[in-house]
Amino acid sequence: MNTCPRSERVVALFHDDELDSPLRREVASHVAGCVVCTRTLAAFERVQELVAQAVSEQLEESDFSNFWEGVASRIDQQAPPSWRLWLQLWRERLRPAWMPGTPVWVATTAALLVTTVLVFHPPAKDSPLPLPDPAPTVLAANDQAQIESLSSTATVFLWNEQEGNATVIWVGDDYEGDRP
Amino acid sequence: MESSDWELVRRCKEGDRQAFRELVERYQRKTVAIALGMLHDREDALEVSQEAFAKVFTNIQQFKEEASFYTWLYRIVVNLAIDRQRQKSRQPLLDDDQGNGESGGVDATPAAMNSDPYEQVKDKELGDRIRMAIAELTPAHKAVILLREVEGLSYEEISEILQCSRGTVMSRLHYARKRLQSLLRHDL
Ligand SMILES: [Zn+2]
Repeated sequence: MNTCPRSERVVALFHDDELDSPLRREVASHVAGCVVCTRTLAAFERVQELVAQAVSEQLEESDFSNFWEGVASRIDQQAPPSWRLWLQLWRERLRPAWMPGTPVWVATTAALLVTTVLVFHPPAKDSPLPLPDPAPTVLAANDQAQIESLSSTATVFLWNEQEGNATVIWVGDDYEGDRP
Repeated sequence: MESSDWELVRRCKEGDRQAFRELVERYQRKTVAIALGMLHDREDALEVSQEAFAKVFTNIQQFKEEASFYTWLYRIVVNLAIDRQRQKSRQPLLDDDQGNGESGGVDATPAAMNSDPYEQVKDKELGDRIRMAIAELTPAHKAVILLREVEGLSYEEISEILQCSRGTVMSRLHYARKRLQSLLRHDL
């Protein structure tokens, strides 16, 4: 049986065009004169041809006419819910630099929300508390939403979308700028 | 003039879906070819490719400019195809006569393991014989042979996609070729 000192792996590197120029030329001239390496190279080429052919046959039978529609519907299914987009928008664009980070913000908001509910909706029906002075001021309103100040020191802003049943509360400890 | 991948990716990051559609149309056949080679089923291959593109779009903001778009895309396709194959092989056999129902849908009896796969498929068409030979390879060997022989990628690109060394690419490729040569010996 014929053998060759050249490794099959070198022939593979040659076949895959992974050799640098001087070695590539050397291997090319060796393969041209070596029966064993010529046969090895031919076998690599044949495997490549068969694999490519088998895949391309199946590819030709594939239907791409609704491919994009399939991708688009998957993208829509993966889209994050709107509240997450709002939160992201708040974090990246709207939150002023002086505002505390999310955990402090959430804790403060939760505490204020509980306090507000207790003040405006006392458990006993027959002992209503008087409204705080000044009363909440409507700062902006449209069909779906309104923005109210719930604090006379302008530290809490409430944005309430009744249709979507969504509420965004904006809290600032030392807010001194213009109201939104 | 055709926009570069980079230009399209930049527009996608700004939320331009039309730009993403161009990328999809540019790479859909290539991704389906890889998935077909991995899964041997047209419907699965189309689904996995669509899933991969959707994943790419959803995570486009995380894509770093130093990487190439298609190596990232192909990595996702290969990983999803491997996951899909795992899910399928875990599905129990419907017909219990085919095995004990615990072999994950693959006949792993000694008789089946010792038989010559070529003998089982010699009467089939050449295309089927090749596909069955590829199916005999492990997912890692399949991926490397498809990326090289079908997509024509360099060892460097394959190592980037499969996140392994160039040496690993070379040895997997060597093993996969030897295995295919042995399985297809009558067709070479
Ligand atoms: Zn030789």
